[in-house]
Amino acid sequence: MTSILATATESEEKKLHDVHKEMDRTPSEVVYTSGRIKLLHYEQIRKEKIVHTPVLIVFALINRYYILDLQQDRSVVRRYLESGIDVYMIDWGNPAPIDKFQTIGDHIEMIDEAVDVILKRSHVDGITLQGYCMGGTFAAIYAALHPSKVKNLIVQAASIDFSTQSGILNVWSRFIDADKIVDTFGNVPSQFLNSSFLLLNPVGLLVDKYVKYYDNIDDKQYVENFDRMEKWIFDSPDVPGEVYRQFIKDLYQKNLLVKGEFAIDGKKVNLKRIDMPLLNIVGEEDNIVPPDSSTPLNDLTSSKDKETISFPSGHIGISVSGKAQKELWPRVAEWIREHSV
Amino acid sequence: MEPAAYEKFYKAWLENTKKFLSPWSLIKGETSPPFSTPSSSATDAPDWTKDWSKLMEGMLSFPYTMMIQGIGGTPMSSQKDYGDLLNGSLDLYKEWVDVSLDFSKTWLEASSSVFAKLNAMTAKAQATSPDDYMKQIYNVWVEELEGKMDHLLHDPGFSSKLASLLSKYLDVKEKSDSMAEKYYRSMNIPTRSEIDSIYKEIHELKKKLSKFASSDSSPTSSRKKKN
Repeated sequence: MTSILATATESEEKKLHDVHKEMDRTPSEVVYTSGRIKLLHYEQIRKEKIVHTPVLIVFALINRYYILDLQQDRSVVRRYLESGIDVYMIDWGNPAPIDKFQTIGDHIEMIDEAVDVILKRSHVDGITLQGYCMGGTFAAIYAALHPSKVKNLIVQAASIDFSTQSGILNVWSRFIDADKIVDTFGNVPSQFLNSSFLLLNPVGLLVDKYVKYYDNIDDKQYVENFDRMEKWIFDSPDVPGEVYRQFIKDLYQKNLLVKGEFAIDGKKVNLKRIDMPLLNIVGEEDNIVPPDSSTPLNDLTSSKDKETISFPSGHIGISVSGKAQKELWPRVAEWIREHSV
Repeated sequence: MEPAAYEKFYKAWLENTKKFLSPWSLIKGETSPPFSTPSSSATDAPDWTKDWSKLMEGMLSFPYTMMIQGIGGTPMSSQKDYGDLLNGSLDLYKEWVDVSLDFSKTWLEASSSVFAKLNAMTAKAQATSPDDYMKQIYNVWVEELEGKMDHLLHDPGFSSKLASLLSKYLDVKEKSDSMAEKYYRSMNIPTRSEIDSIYKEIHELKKKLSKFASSDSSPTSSRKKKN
């Protein structure tokens, strides 16, 4: 059974490897694997590691982690390495049909395993945990459950309060029958998720984007940047069924996290247990995770040292835009350095 | 099987089945068929036509043969399944038409706004090069349509229709999957629900194992071992 499952993901892995080779990515090594997940450790650029506390970045289960390392001049990872920060990243891999029963709690456990590996390798007591999008929600949940292992918490475009109706996804989720979707599909197919995201702005994403591409077809850099983004947009794995069910029902529909009623394996997640320094990065023009879904986190924690950076960009632009690379990420790297002494 | 049981049930059933099938299949019946078939009646036809007729009769009898043997369900349940699938597909189509109409309406509204804006554009703006003018028209069109689409997609009424469309699609898929399961089961091929139950058990065993492993490596556990 395992070999049959492995065959299905091996061909996917090979395709992914070919995609990655073509991209201008920062070298990394896999330092830990557990099931489908891999923990990546990026090679240092500086001769000496200056910042003692390593950073673990947790991306969402939708799309892939390398949006944070798309190419050399659009890489959050590279900005951190240039500042002497030790960077780890979780690669969630490709869910197989057997993974459809994995819950949010299982993924929090996987994060815990990765954190334990980093603590042991780096000989530290705590890490800087950074979560992006759904990964930010996971990071907040993890920090609330294991505050002793998290020295600093950074959340980036993270959904915390799902009651807002300013985002289209928040409106749609009121009507979605998550049980029917998961019971029929099992793992939620990536094509279904991609179609949903394209429908957020059909004119922009299905027409205007390609017209602009045609207009700039002679600009080599534009074309290369576009092609890398396109590859990332459509390189998306399925989402484990039970994670989807919980995310829609417990978070989007019932908003249990901010009410303090969201439970992982029977244990309620209390955001007040987050008492470490907190940096909340929000995209002002984010139409996937609207700002009023992310900003409430600061008031829900008991952190004394907390800050919100509201940046004029969208959900993806906050990572890859030229402006973010020049202005935002060096500032975040400086925040990490200051809080890693 | 005991000889008495064989005589009473199985043999009688087998004989009756053969009798029923003999006009339609390649099984040589002991009695002559109650009615003529193309292959049996065309005595003067060339041999190859008789063989061809026999082959077609055999193929046509296959679903009935399957039903008699209990494979694939009874004719009534198969008809019901196909009927339900057809009804589900029609419901899906109706929802699709409903959603498409809303999209079409939005397109028309946007087009009206575009024409109104283009008419209002000054003569100076219009008297640019043809390429620039087309670009202006395009930009106006994108702006208007994006705005109208955003309004539509945010509308709870439309969101409800989208959800309903998705629900009908899932109904059809679920019906189609359950019909496939019936046939796979009859052919002794593992079905999705059977594999899912195994997956679930493996998942739960992995979790238990992980709990045992973590409790085994805890300090309390190691102290117990030393004692």
